[in-house]
Amino acid sequence: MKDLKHFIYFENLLRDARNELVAQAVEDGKRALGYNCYYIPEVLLNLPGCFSSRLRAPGMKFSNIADYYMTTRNCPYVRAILERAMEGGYHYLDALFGAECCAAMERMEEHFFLLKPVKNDRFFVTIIDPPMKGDKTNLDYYKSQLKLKVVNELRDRFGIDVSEDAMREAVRLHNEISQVITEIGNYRKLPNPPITGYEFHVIELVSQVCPHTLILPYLKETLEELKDRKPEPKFPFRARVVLAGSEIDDPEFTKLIEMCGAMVVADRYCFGSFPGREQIIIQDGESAYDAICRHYLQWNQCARFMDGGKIDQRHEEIRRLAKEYGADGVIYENMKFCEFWSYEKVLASNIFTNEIGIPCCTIEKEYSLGSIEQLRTRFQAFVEALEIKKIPGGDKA
Amino acid sequence: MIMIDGLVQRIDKKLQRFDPLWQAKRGIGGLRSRYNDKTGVAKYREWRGIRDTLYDYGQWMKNLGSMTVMVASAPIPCLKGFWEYRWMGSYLGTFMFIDRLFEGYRGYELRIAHHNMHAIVQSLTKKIALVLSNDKRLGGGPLSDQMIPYDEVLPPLFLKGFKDLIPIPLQTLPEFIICDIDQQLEPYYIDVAESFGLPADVCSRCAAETGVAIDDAFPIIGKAFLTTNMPCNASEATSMFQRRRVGLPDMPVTLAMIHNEPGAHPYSTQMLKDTIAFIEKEYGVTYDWDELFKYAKELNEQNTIELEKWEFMKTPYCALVGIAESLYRLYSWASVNGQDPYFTKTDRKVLKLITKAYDEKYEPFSGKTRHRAFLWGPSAVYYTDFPTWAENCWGINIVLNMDSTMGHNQISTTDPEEAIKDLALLSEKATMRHHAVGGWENVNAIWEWAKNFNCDMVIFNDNVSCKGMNGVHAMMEEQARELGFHFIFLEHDLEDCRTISRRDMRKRISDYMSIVLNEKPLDPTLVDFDDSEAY
Repeated sequence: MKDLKHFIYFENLLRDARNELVAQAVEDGKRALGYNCYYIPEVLLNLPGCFSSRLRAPGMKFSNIADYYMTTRNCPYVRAILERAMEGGYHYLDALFGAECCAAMERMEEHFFLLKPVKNDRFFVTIIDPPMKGDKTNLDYYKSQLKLKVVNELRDRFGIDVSEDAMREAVRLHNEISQVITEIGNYRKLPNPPITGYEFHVIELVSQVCPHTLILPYLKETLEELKDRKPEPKFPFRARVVLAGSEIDDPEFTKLIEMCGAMVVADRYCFGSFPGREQIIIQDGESAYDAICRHYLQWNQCARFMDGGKIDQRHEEIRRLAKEYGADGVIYENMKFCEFWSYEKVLASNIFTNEIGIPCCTIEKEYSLGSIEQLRTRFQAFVEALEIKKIPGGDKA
Repeated sequence: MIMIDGLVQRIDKKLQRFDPLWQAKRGIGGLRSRYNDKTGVAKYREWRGIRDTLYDYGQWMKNLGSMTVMVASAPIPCLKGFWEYRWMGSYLGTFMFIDRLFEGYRGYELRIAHHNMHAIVQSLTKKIALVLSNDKRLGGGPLSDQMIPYDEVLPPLFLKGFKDLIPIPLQTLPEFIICDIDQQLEPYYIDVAESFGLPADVCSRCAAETGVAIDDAFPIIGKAFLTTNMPCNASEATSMFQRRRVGLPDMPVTLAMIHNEPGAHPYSTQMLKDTIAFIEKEYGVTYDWDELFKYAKELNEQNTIELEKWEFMKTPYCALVGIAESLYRLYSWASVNGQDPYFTKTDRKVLKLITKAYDEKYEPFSGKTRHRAFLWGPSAVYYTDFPTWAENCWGINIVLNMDSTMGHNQISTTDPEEAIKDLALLSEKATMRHHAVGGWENVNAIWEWAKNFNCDMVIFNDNVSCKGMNGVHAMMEEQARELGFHFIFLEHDLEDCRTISRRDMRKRISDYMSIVLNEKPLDPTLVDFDDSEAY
């Protein structure tokens, strides 16, 4: 396929948390608001006058200082973020909005106020206690937590307009960028898509780490370009998979899977587009803020949700994605030391393999792409297994 | 009386060469001398002098009596239980377990320890008989559908408002308390979970619970199951596994994790209300506040006494020490939680003994304590007698344990609306989660606790798979240095004795005591020994 016009530019934007678009927005006087987890609605951080910056630590190889503070027995993602903060990679941030979505994440975010690694006088940290069920009691709690620790903080500290009109404008912008990303992602449903999983991963990531208003024109142009982009004459992959699991913010991981012969047709992981790029619908009589909270609770697929409804929902969502995107199997990934996805991976692979009948491969990974040969072997074996199933009678093999 | 005292003294003097404390003092033996290596089977009982030995033996018989009553009250279910469940066999180690807990105990501390321990034994044996008699896996019983299986970390007091229902902590019998007794059991269940694909780096306690679920080793009772998000991520995750295997309608009772904030309590209160409504619906019963108030009064008195005990614990003259304090508090708070008046009676008796000992300026362990330590973080379940070892070997008195600080607020016994708020507050400060999770201030509270209890040492339980506590590792160490506490990270793997053995744990302490503090052990036979095959 012909290269996408802005693709190298997109790749370059992912090399540094403070990329050129972030720097431009900061220079324009916008507040840079960091966050890690989907529980913090991105849309609230894109109210007029501020922009969201989902934290990654690109190029992180060693996290020695963070290892000292949090031990090597903790989530590599949170250690990488703390290390990058200690290195001085997030000085552009005006705030970090954290969530007690897991103990490791919460501890890492605490270090942002204990060690004060962000050298910015305005910088502050708040940490919400996020909901664990999808019921009304939890929705009310979610609303009160976000109001107290995000909305009111933005209003009181930075004078951000949090009125209904401002919220509606933020929702409009969110829906616009989500629509573009969704349309780009929909090409992956085609039998021979004009976009690879790796390319989509890069595009989705830039939409999360760059100011929306600045990245949107490039994304729109890319969407237009895709409409006429010619795919390879023959589908170049041997299988199609849904990639599901915890935090994956390194597109090289998607590239690894694709180099083993399986196209990643759907991305249901933290930093993926499922969830993240759905339209926020404001119902009649509903405030924009209520709609945002309801939307994020409803679409959240975190393995942390404990009630039967949400547990079934996350399995149903994978099944839906596999069907709609024509996937042959699912790769379940968990970041090493992640308690939630360690369990979910085991449970879900059992359900998918034995009850739903969709083949599963489960793997564990580090933050930076280590143990690459072992992973390659696992993926290659999985692709072969999927191919065998396509041979008549192969499902009995 | 004087004649008897004189006679006892003469006999004690004659036989003192059999007393391991006397032997240790003279370097001719010690507390470990009476054991076979590896298995930890004792060759003979500990000689503690005539009075203490007879008292100790009498209490041993009393506990045996409780176990006999258990079997006699439900002989067939008990037999079936032994046949069906691997974990039932481990309860045979109870006597060895109790002996190990109270090694070196004499006088008041021995009497108090046995009062507390018997309360646990009588309660636990009744519970085992009750559960097995109504376990549907063993044929069921008349009370099968009147039981509410709930996650053991959820404080059950609020469930006592259901007059005819019996709350049963589902994991306690097959997983938690049995790991206290037998270090060899849980590795089996952990292996079951890991053979199913669970990584080895998750919390071993939760892995063990998962293994019990997969192995179908939970008794089947009740009509609905209450899970919870407490105390931490792995507990939440294993609950999702268990609900599937248990197969009953379930309700996750998710209380606020960041609980030291005003916004948290209304949420937790509403969650308890939702839970009550769920039980009413599933069991077709109505909540009775007067019934709740009856038991709330019990817990209120127990908590009041607990606070009185703390005042004694701040002094060198408190005869309630070490594991006798922490195991009892853990069981009476987390598992009983006001439901059994026997514990109130025990508390009253123990308080009297503590007061008497204090009035006599009685120092436990013959005044050999060198350091007063606060034990912070979740303790190794497979090494319950660690505080006993620390005192006997190095003179480290574990004054209080993190879990002993669990919720001690009073519950309203007149106003339902106030009572449910109080219960929410109590529940948010439950086992392992009061200080271990929910924010920096909670874990950082240790220094204030240690200072208030006049401790010069903090032993920080370093559960290698606890992500939340790992996340504060260096901050805690830096704080300790700044504040001038002796500080020891004590690595363990909660319920898996294979990762870090009891011997490894002892070495950690012994190295610090001998290399850093240059101290000599009180009992050299305890410094290094092999108990890898012991219960």
